[in-house]
This record gives sequence, C-alpha cells and structure tokens, in this order.
Amino acid sequence: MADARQVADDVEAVLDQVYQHVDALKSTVSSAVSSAVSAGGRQLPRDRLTEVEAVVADMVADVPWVGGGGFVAALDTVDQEHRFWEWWTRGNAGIERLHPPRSSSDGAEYAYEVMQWFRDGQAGRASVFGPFVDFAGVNQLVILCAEPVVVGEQFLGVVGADLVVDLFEIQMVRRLRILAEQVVLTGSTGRVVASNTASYAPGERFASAGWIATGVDADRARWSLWAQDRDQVSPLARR
Amino acid sequence: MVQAWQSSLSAAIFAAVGADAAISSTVAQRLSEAISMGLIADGEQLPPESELAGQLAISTVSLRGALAILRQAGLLETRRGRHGGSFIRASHAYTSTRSTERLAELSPSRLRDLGYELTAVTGMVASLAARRFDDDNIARLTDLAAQLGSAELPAQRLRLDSRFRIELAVASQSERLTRRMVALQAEYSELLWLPAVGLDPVACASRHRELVKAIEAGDADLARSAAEAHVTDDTRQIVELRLEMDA
Repeated sequence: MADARQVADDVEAVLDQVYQHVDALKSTVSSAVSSAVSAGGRQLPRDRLTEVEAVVADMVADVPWVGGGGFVAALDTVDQEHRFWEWWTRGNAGIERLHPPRSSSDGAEYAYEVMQWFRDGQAGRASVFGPFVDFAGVNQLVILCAEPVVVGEQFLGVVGADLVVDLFEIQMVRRLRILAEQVVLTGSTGRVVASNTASYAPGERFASAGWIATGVDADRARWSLWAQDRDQVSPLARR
Repeated sequence: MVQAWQSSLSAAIFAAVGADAAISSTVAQRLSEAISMGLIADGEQLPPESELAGQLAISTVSLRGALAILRQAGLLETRRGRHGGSFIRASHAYTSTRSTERLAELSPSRLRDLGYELTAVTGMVASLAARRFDDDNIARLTDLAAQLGSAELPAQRLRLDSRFRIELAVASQSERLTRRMVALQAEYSELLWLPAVGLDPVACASRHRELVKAIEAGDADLARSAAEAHVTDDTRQIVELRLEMDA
C-alpha cells in the first residue's frame, strides 16, 4: 500500500522533469547575456536570445503536458523595450512564438512585473504559480514553473514553463489515485492543483483544517499533499 | 517600436464570428469594440492581411471589407513604404454618436436579453472568484476600481470598467467564461458608458469595491448577488435611455 510520502515523491519527480528543462533555459539565457552584461551594457540585444526556441522545442517534445515556455525579461533590459519576452508555445506544427506584450495603451498591456511569479523571481526565488488564466498571455488555465535568471548581481528576468491544467491535472490525479483515502494536492498559495475526488477542483482555495500535510518540492514549488487526519475523522466520513 | 498583433488575444475576441454574409461588418464591429475596451492599443500594427485572415479564420475578401469599414471610421490608418502597414488609431475609438446609433438599432427586448446573459456570466464568475481568487487578482481589481472612480473621460471609464469585469472573469479561472465575458463586454460596455445613460463612475467604482470585499471574504453567495444586482441595475438604466429614444 502506497503512502502519502511515496506519492509526494512521485509528484516531485514530475516537477523535476519540467525543472530540468527550465534549468536548461536558465543556462541558455545566462550564457547568452553574460557577455553583454560584463561589457557593461544595460540593454540586451534580442538576437542573443534565439537559442531559447530550440530549448523550448526540446522541452515540449519531452513533456507532453507543457504548453510552452521561455524567458520574461526584467523591465527595460531587452531591445529598448519596456517589457519583453521570448516565449514559445506548442502550436499545430512545432512551436510558435507568442508576440511580446504590447507597451503603449495602459489598459492593453500585460503588466507582468506586478505578478507574483515575477516578484518571486526578483526576490531570487523559484516558484510554481497557479493555476491561473493567463489572460492576454497564453489565454489558458496554466501553472507556471518559474526560476529567476541572475548574472552577477543583476536580475535579468524569469525563465519558465507553463503546465497546461487541461493535461496536467489528470497526470496528477493518476498518481493521487494510488492512495485509497481522499487527498488534495495544493500549491504554494493554498489553492488546489489536483485531487483524487471531484469535490476539489483545481484553483479552489483549500481549507486545510482537519487535514495533515506532506511537503512536495520544498525548494521550488512548496506544494502540499493533504490527507484527512484520521484521529479527527470518523470511519464513515472517509471514503 | 510597434508591436505585432497578438494572435491568442484575437482568437479570444473573434472566436464567435461565424460564416455570415455580413461577416465584414461583424468583424469590423468586434474590432472597433475591442479598440474601445483598450484590448487593442493605439498605434498597434496589424499583421499582413493573409496572416490576419488566417488567424480570424475568415477569407481575405471579408477581411479587406472589414478593414475598409474601420478605415472609414478613422480607426485604421494605412501607411505606404518600407515602414508601412495598417495601424490602429485608438484615439478615435469612442464616439457616443456611433454607440447611440448602435443602441437605437437594438430593440429593448434584445437589450434586456443581453443584460440577462451578462448577469448570468457575471454572477457565476463572481461566485467562482470568491472561491478561487489569488492576491494578484485582488490587487488588480482594487486598482481598476480606484482608477475608474477618478476617470474623467467616457472612453477611460468604459475601458477601466470593462477591464474590471474581464479581470473578475479571469479571477474565476474559467477559460470559457473569460472568453464569454470579453465578448459580452465588447457588446455591452460602449452602451453602458454612453454619457446619456448617466452612470456615475464613483458609485460604480464603489459597488465594484463592495464586490471585491465579498470576494476577498470568500463569500461566494454575497459576491454573486452583489454582481448580479449591479448588472441588473446598469441594464435598467440603459433600457431607460433606449425607451426614451422612441418617446
């Protein structure tokens, strides 16, 4: 009989596979820009980021539930643009570039610098953010696995990969269903990622009173796998 | 530097355009509404015709018809030469004359029906948002409500209010309801913010803030009823104006 720790490790292994590719993105971006930074330039020419495409193509080919990924630049660091990203998404034929955020009218822009995952990056932390509908971005319900890119002392931006909830949830559910009891996997902000019962939908805020947590990927995702506290629950309340 | 068209966003706006003899005017209408809502920025360059027609899944003939309508309305400027192309002119986006004409074309009964659909969607997204919001959603909603309270121009009010309602749908984490909300706001907000409707942006912003409070408290029922009541009251004011037009 599997226990919660084994399932948590299994979930962690799924995230590890994604983070291997995110790490590859990070080193690609770091090495592409380190020469520009060491030369004292504040502005990074966009053509140095062309290798991002191939790394994302590898990732998308390797991990079926990843919808895309890339690099989101710190403000005012690439090509004289206020906001810039080099982001690729799974398309009908291979991967397609997501057009960078628009910068003119204030209502139309994608102000990624105020978003939690970007601020986590600025603070030097990796994070797994969501589920959230990435409106005016990929326009899909996704979970973003993000990691900061820092060269020397300079924060250059965030690299990341989108887990498409459409495809990812069921992968998690398959792993959670190994456990006989009702369990809920939650993200770092306490919202549901997946559960082995339909009572808990991804994205919902989870009230954890009466449940016991097993940590998942404490360094980056800070997810928790919750099982009901057997001491507090009558046998009838358990499935 | 001019940004290219965002294909995913255009898909969100135009998903519901069907095969129709009036397809050019439908596309032109949706585009001008999207410009009014600030979803397409001033100065934005459209991609080449063949590419855009492909993204919208319409023929290049229909697309050219739509672009001609926009050009005539002053919403699109075509420049020749090496840096040429078609550019959005958002500064001409909101004229109450055109929106008043649109209101006159809608029967009171269709207008009410639009209100019912928006009420259903808004109530549901508010209720979901109360169970699903994150801190980013609350910060963005609060900020948009505050900006709306101090917005001077009808065009700004329209843009901020519709962005608030779209952000509410985003907070619900439903892709379908978000797409529906974008389409509904495109139809609805230019009517709502007609100066003749007489909506008070300060009062509207304050109702938005009440809603955000209910969401933040996790009170799904209160959020739903507050959101529904707001749309119902707004729609009554638009219908009031519509009835007066025939007096």
